[in-house]
Amino acid sequence: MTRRRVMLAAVVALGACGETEAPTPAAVPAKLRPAPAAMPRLTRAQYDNTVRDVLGDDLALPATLEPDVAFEHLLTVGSAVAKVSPRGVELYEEAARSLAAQLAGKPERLAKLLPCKPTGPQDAVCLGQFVAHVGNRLWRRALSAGEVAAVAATATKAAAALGSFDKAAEYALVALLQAPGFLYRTEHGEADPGHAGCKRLTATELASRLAYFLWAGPPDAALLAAAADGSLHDPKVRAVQVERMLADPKLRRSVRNWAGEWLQLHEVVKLSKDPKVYKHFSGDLGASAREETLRLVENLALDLDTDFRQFITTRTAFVDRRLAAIYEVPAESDAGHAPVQLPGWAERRGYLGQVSFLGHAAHPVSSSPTLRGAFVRRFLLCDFVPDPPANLNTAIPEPSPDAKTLRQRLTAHMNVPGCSSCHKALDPIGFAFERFDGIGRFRTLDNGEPIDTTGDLDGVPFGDLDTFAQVLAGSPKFRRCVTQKLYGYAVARPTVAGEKTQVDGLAAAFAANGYKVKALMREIALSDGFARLACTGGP
Amino acid sequence: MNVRNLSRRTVLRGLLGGSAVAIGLPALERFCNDSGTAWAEAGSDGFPKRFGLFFWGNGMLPDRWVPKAHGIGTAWQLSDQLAPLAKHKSRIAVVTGTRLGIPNSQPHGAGAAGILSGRPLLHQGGDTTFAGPSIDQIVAEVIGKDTRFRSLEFGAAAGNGYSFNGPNSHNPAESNPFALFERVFGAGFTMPGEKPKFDPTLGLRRSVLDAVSADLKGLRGQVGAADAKRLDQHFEGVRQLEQRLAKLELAPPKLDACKVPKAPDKAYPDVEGRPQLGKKNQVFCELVAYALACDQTRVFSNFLTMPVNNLLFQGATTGHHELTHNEPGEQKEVHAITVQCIEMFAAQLDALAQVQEGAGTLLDHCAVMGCSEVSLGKTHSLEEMPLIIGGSAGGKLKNDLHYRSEGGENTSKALLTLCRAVGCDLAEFGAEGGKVSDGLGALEA
Amino acid sequence: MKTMQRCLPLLLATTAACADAGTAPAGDTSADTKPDAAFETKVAPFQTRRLYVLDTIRFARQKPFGTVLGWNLDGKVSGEDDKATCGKKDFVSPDGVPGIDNQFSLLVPLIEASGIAAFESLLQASVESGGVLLMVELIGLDSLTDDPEVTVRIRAGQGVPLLGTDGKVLTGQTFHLSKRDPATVCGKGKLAGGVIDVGPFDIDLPLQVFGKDYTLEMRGGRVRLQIADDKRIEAGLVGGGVTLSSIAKIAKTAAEDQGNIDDIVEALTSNMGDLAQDATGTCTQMSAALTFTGVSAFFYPADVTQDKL
Repeated sequence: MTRRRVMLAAVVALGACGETEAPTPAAVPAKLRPAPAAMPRLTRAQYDNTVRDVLGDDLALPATLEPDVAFEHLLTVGSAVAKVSPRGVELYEEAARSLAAQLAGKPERLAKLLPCKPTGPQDAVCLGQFVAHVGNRLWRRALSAGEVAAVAATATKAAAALGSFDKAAEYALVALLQAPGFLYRTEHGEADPGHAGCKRLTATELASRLAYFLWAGPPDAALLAAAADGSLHDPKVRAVQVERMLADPKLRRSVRNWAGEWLQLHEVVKLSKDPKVYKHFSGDLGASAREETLRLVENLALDLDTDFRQFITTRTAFVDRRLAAIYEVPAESDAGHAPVQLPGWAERRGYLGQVSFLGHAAHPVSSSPTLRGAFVRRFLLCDFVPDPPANLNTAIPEPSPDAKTLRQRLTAHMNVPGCSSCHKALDPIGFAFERFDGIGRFRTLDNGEPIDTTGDLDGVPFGDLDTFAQVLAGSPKFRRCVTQKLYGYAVARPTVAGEKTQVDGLAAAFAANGYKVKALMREIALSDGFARLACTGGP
Repeated sequence: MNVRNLSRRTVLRGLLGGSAVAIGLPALERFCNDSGTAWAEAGSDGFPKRFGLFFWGNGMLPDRWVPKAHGIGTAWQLSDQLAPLAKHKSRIAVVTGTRLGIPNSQPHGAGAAGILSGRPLLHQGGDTTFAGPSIDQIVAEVIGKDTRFRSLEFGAAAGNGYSFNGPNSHNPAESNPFALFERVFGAGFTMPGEKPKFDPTLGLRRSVLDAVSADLKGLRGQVGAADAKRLDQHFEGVRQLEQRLAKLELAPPKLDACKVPKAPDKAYPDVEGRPQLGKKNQVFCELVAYALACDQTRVFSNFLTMPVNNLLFQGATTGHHELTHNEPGEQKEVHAITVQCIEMFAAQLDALAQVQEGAGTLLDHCAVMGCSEVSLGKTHSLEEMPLIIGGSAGGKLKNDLHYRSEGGENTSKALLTLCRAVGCDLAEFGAEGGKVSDGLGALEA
Repeated sequence: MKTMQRCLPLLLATTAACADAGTAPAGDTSADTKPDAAFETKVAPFQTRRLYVLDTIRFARQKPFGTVLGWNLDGKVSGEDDKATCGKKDFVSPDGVPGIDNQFSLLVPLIEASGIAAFESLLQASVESGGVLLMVELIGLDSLTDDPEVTVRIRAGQGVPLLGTDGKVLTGQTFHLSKRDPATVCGKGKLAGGVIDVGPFDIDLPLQVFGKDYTLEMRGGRVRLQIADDKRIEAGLVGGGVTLSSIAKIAKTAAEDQGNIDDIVEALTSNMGDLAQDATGTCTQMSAALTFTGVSAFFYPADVTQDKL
C-alpha cells in the first residue's frame, strides 16, 4: 500500500496538473501597483466586536443594523462600497443610544471606562479625558482637540439638562458611536519613504487594518501604542505585533468570520428542504451545518495548524447528532458538535461531503450537479460563472425510461450549444457528488439506476467525490483561490489588477509553508503590499 | 434665517432653560412648505398624496391574469387572478401588456431592478445591487421630507426587502409587525392635536447629529470621489433624521382620522410549517393605514414576499418557487398562490379604504403600486408585466380602468406617471433600457 | 469480507478511543496524490453487525374472522376446557396456523373501551418520546437474504430520539445505551429469504412512561423479523408470556397519583393469565404479541466499549 502511494506521489510531482513550479518564498513582486485608499464601513461582525472589545462583552447588541454588502462574494470586501442609508442612520442612532444607556445605567461599568474620578456633573476636565480615552479606542486613533471638544459640547449640555456626569458620559458615547470616525475605517495615508511618489497607510491605519484582519475587531491598547509612536512601520516591530496577534484568542473569531463569508454560511443557516422529500431535514439543520464547517476550519487552521488542503480531503467530521444521522456514522456527543472519523471506505470526505455544501448547493427537492458545480467554480476555484440567460424555460425533463438518473436528464445541458458552453464547465464537476442526495445523504441509486460519478476537472479525471476531493485539493487554482479569499478579507476592498502578482506570490508562499492558514495570514500581514497605497504616476 | 432653524434654536433655548417651548401650527399650514404656500401635491381637499408599493415575488400566470376586455367601467371585468379585487374595482387601474426594457441579465434579480427602479441590475464583482434608487425612495425624496418617517418598509416575508437608495444602499425592511408598531406608535409618538410631551433628549440627539453632520462634511473633503458620494448619502440621511426629530417637538394639528391601532402580537410563528402570511399582512396593512392617517409618513413599501421565495403557502404541496418551475401543465397551485397574493393586496387596499379623509377615503389620496418582478415565473419573463394601481392620488389617476398596451410599451412609463401623480415632478424615469420621458397618458386623469 | 469482520470492531474501538482524546487526530495527508486512471467504485464493506431501533410498535390485534398474529408459546393447541391454560382457548393465525397464544389481544379493546383513550397510540407515542426505546441487533450477518447462523439480540436505549419530518424516529441516529439494557440474546437462527426467527428467551424490557421507569417481564419469548433492505427491518413479531406480576406493578405505579386502583388491577389481571400455571392453579403469565418495524441505528461508541459479543 505504501509503495503504491510513493509511486503515485512521484507521478504527481512530475506531472502535477501540468505544473512544474517549485514553490518559492514570497519576495516583494516587482510589478506591484497597490490599490488606492479605501473607506470601508464596519461590517456587522466588526461593529459588534468593536463594541464588545471596547465597552464590554455583556452588552445587548442591536438586533438590526444596516445590512452588509457582498463584493467578490465577501462581505468584508463589500464593506468598501457599502453605504449608510437613511434607515441605516436611524438604526445606528438607535443602537448608539441603546448601548450608551446600558452603560450609563451601570455606574461600576462606566467607572471602568473613566480614566478619572469626576468631581461633579460639570467636571469638564474629566469629561475631556473620558472622551479622549474611549474615543481613542472606539475610533482606533487619537482624537484631535477639536474632535474632543465637539463631542464634549453635547455631553456638557446633557449634564446640564439632565443633572449628572453619567449623563454627560452617556451622550459622549452616543456621539462617539455615530461618528464617521467610528463607522468607517478611513485610509488617508502618508508619503511612503520607501517608494517615491507612492503612499502608504499611516501607522494608525496599519494597526486598524491588522486588527480587523487578524481579530475582526479593533486594535488593543498595545497595538495602538505601537502605532501612536510610529514604530509599527518598523518591520521588526510589526513582526512582533503580528506574532502576538496570531497567538491571541481573538484570532479564532476572525478565522470563523472569514470562513463564514467565504463559504456563504450566512445563507447555509437558512437551509430549507422539502420536508416530504427529506425526512432528515429540520429547521435548525442549517445552523448545525454552518457550525460543522466552522469547527473544521478552526481545527485545521488553528488547533492543528496544519495543511489546509485537508479541508477538502480529511476524514474527520465535526458532527452533532442530526448530522451524524445524515452521514450515517455513530455520533460522539449528544449535545453539540464533536469530531468523528468517517470510514476510509466511504466516498464522503472533507468540506465537499458536508451538508453546508451538498445540502446548500442543491434544490429543495433534489440534488443539483449544476448548482454544486457552480459553487465549486465560484467559491473554491474563484472562476467567474455568469448567470443563466433569463428568458429560458429551465425546467429539467421528468425522468423517463431513457433518462432515469439526474445525470441522464441533464444531457440537454451538454448537447444544446446555447447551454453547453457554460454547463460543460459546471455539470461535470457536479456529477462527482451525485451519490449524495439533496440533503447530503449517501445513496447508491438514483431512480433505481446506479449513479455515474465520473468526470474531469479541467482535464484532470476523477471517479467520485472521494477522488474529486484529491484532485481539487492538489489543484493550484484551489490554493490560489483560498489565498485570494484571505487576501481580499485582509485588505477589505476589491483587489485591483496591479495586485495580481502580489497574490500569486502569496499563493506560492502558502504552498511553501505547507498550506498553513496561520502562516499565510502572517505572510499577508507582513507583506510590503499590505501597508502600501497607490502611487501617483510612479511605478 | 429660515423658519426651521429658528424653531430648533428656540426649542434648544427652551430646553436649556428647563422649560418647553413648542410651536403649534394651524391646520392649514400643516401641509404647507417653508414659504407658507400650499404643497403642490396636496389635493384640492387639502389632504396630502401618499405613495405605496405592494410587492409579491415570483410573478403570476399571464393567461389567467390579463382581463379579456379593456376600457373603463363596465367595458371590462376582472380576470380569475384579479377577482379578489372585486370590492375595489372602481378604485383600481390594471395595466397589462407592458414590458421591461432592461436586459434580463439575472433571473428574478433583473426584473426586480427593472420594475422597482427602471434600471438594469448592476453587476459588481460577482454580486449584484440596484443601479439607482427604487421608486419608493425616488418619491420619498420629494414627499417624505415633512413627516416623522421618510418612508416605512415592511412585509410579512420581506427579508431585506428591495427598497434601495442607490447602489449598495439598502433600506432594511421590518418583518415583525410588533417592531413596526413600536417604531411608529411607541415611544416618540404624539397624537396629532395633543401637545408633545417635553423630551429633553430630543434636542440632545439633534445636537449629536449636528456634530456628526459636521464630521461627515469635513471627511468628505479628504476622500476620493466615490467615497465622497457614499458620505454624501450618509450626510443626507443624518440631515433627514435631524429634521424628523425636530418634527417630534412640534405640535401637529388634530387629524380626525388618526388613532393608535391595537398592538400586534409579539410574534407570528409558523403554523404547521406554513408562514402566517395572511395574518401578518393584515396587521401590517392596518398599521400602515394608521401611520398614514396620522401623517407619520407618506411613503410605504409592503414586501409581502420576495423574488425566488420558496415559501409554503396555504394549500400548496411545496414551495412557491419550486412550483413555478416544476408544476406541470396549467399550474393550478401556482394559480392558487397568485390569487392568495392578490387577496393580500386587496387587504392592503381595504385597510386604506377604511380610513375616512374629508369627503373621501385615504385610498382616494393614495397611489398604491401592486407589482412583481416577473410575469410568468417559469420563464422569468419580463413581458406582460403585472401592474395594478390602487387609488387615484387625489383624482390624478383614472380608476376602474383596464389599460391594455398593444405593442409592449415600456413599464417605466406607468412608473413615471405614478411619480408625477403624487407630486414628484420628474422629467424622466429610469436609465438605459428602462428610461422614459413620457408617462402613460391613458392612466392620467 | 472476512477481513472487514475483524476490522470493524477495531474501527469501533478506535472511534471510542477518539472520544477520550478530545482533539481529532490528523486527517488524511494524501492530498497531492493523483487518483488512479481507472476508477473503482468504492464499495462499502458488508456490515456484519447491525443495530435497528424499533420505530413502530403495535399490539398484534384480533383481525377479521377471529385470527391474530402471535406465537404458539406452550406448543399446544388449547381449547376453552384446557385447565393448563386456565380456560383460555388458543387462536388461529392469519396464515391458518392453530395454537396461537395471544391473550393480550383480547385485553387491548377492553382497555381502550374503558377510557384509557388511544392506548395503542400511547405505545407509539412512547416510541417517539423515548419511553419505549427498544433495539434489535443482528450479529454475524453475512448476507441480507441467506445466512446459516445469525445471532439476534434485544437491546434498549435511552434518551429522546430525533424525529424526522414525518414524525417518526429518524434513520441512522445514535442512541445512548439504557442503564437497564437487557442485552438479551434471543437466540441464534438461520436467515432464509431475508426472514429469521429465534427463541425461546426470557427478557426484562425497560420502559419509561411519563417519566417513571417500568419493567415488562416476558418469558419464553420468540421473535421473528424480515430484513427489508440495507437500512430497515419489517414484519417484526415478538411475543411471549408477560408476567402478570409485572403488569400489575406497572398499572399500580402508573395510577399512583390517581389513588388506589389495586382492586381494579387485581380484577383485570388475576384472571387473564393463560400460561405458567403455578401450584395454586393460577396462570401467572399472559401471552402477548407485538408487531414492529425498525430502522438502522447506532449506539454511542463510548457506551458500548464493554460489549462482550
